[in-house]
Amino acid sequence: MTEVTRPPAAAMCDVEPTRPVAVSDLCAAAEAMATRNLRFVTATCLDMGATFDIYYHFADGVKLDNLLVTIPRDAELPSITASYLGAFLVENEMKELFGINVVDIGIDYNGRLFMTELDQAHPMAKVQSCAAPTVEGE
Amino acid sequence: MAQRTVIPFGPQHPVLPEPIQLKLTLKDEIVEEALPHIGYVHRGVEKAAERMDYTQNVFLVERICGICSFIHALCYCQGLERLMGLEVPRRAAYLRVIWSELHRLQSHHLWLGLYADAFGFESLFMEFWRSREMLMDIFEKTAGSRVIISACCIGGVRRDISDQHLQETLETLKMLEAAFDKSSEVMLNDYTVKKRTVGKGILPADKAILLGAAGPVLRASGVEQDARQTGFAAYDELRVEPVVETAGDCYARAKVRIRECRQSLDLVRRAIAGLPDTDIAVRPKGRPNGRTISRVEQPRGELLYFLAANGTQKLDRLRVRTPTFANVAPLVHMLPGCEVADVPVIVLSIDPCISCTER
Amino acid sequence: MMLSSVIRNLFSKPATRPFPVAVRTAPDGYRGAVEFEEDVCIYCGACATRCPANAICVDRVAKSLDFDPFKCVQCGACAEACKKGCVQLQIDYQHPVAAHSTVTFNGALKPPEAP
Repeated sequence: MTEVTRPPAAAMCDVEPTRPVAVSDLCAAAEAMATRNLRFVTATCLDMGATFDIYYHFADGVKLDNLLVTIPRDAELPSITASYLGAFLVENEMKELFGINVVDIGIDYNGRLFMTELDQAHPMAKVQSCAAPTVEGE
Repeated sequence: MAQRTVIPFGPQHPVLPEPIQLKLTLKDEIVEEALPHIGYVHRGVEKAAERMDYTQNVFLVERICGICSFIHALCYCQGLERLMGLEVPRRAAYLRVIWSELHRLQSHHLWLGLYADAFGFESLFMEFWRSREMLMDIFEKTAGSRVIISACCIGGVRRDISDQHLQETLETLKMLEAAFDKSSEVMLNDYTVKKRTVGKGILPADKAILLGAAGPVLRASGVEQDARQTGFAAYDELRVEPVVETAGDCYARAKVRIRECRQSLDLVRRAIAGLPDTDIAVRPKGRPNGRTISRVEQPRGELLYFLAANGTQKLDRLRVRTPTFANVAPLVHMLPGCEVADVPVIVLSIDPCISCTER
Repeated sequence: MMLSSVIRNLFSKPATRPFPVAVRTAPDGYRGAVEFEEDVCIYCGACATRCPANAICVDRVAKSLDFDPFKCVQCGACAEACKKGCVQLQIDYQHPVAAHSTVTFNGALKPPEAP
């Protein structure tokens, strides 16, 4: 496993604020966003090698408000579809393309949103965790 | 006796130019549940963007969607410019607005035509598409291609529009507006059109927010949000008031787009009138580093690019959130309760672009 | 309302052109098929590195260039990159051909003119 050097999350040079939250607080934070009537925009997943950085973007009027969750590679990620059902597509996408174990998605495609059973698993992940890395290249 | 049936709507359906499947659970003629299935045109653009040079990516992201190709490139370039600290010359910013708004006009004309086709109004479809041809000719003349115009580059635009072409554009827009007045009149006031669209597929404002709708779908539900308010390109000087309707049905979504066409016509004229005389591009220096979000308003709604760069030629991650990706989720709410004959109209009212959605 | 346009359309010319009879030429600056001027090329490889579709392969040592018009997306990045003006986009589009072919030329095979 080669660790690629990447800028820390603090190097985010955007005007919009990003607030780090713990995985356990994610659902509560999303619910708080929903009560503030923020629009769910999308989530972005970054493969950092040993961990995943997941940004959740919410629109507060014209501005964006972001949450950042960092989880270890094989940890579970709770779904925010209880608060924002609209997140189901992006959570399925993360599950499928990155191999994040997103649990309790409102509408779960079980890894068949974009891919078929014939495709290579998790093509967006930088480290192919499911197959033996020495045998299978990209 | 009510019977339940599940019918697959799409991926091949006369009303859909692109493949999306909706699994519709019906109780007699009424839709009870709709489940969208995509994955027919997944091309892995996000992955490809990680393997290509960041300058080459401009051409790659344009090909995510043909209809709003320029705006994709604009969003990507804008993100990189922010990472690299580039200040785009004012003329380039204005030219970007001109091309963006022409793209919006073109896309809305395309949609209005397809929408008319969805409820079987073929002659109205032809009217809109004939007008659209004028816009395509403008692109060909000013940018060198009809669909993928490739006019945007990192640091500005690739080519200038001459004064003569600007004049010709204004004249074409005059003709376009005359044609648009007539056809949009039919779209808004015709008895049969209203019968098919008013009160269909209602999306209330609170649902629109929770389901993350974007663009005209969001604004037709009465939420006043338009990414152009953030003032990217030259929208800081050319202010834009979001076009808002409150009904949240198919008719309101068509009305928002028709009013946006008028707004775009006005914006192009204002941009041409106020076009400053500066350079059109600055040379990018160095390599991008850091993470940023770039947001622009596409014809279909808000487009978001998340760029993560690591100081090399290649980007670490390029996340593309296209407006249809956001607008597929509201379908889950819009469709239940409608009649199966209205499904094509409602699906089309979000202006679906599945190639955008799957990237 | 719609009736007036229907009647007008009935008596006016079609909006389309009768293609093989009336051929429309693209305006100046149109990005059409890519053409190389073999004599001018110095095999620097600038076009190949800029090409987003990997349609151009340049071997600097062997002085050869290989171009696949079927990979080309007509973006014009090569023409912008070329310092010698060797690559140009034609006004005409890429015409269909009967068989897949590539454009290859080799500077080493020619009598030395310009470096």
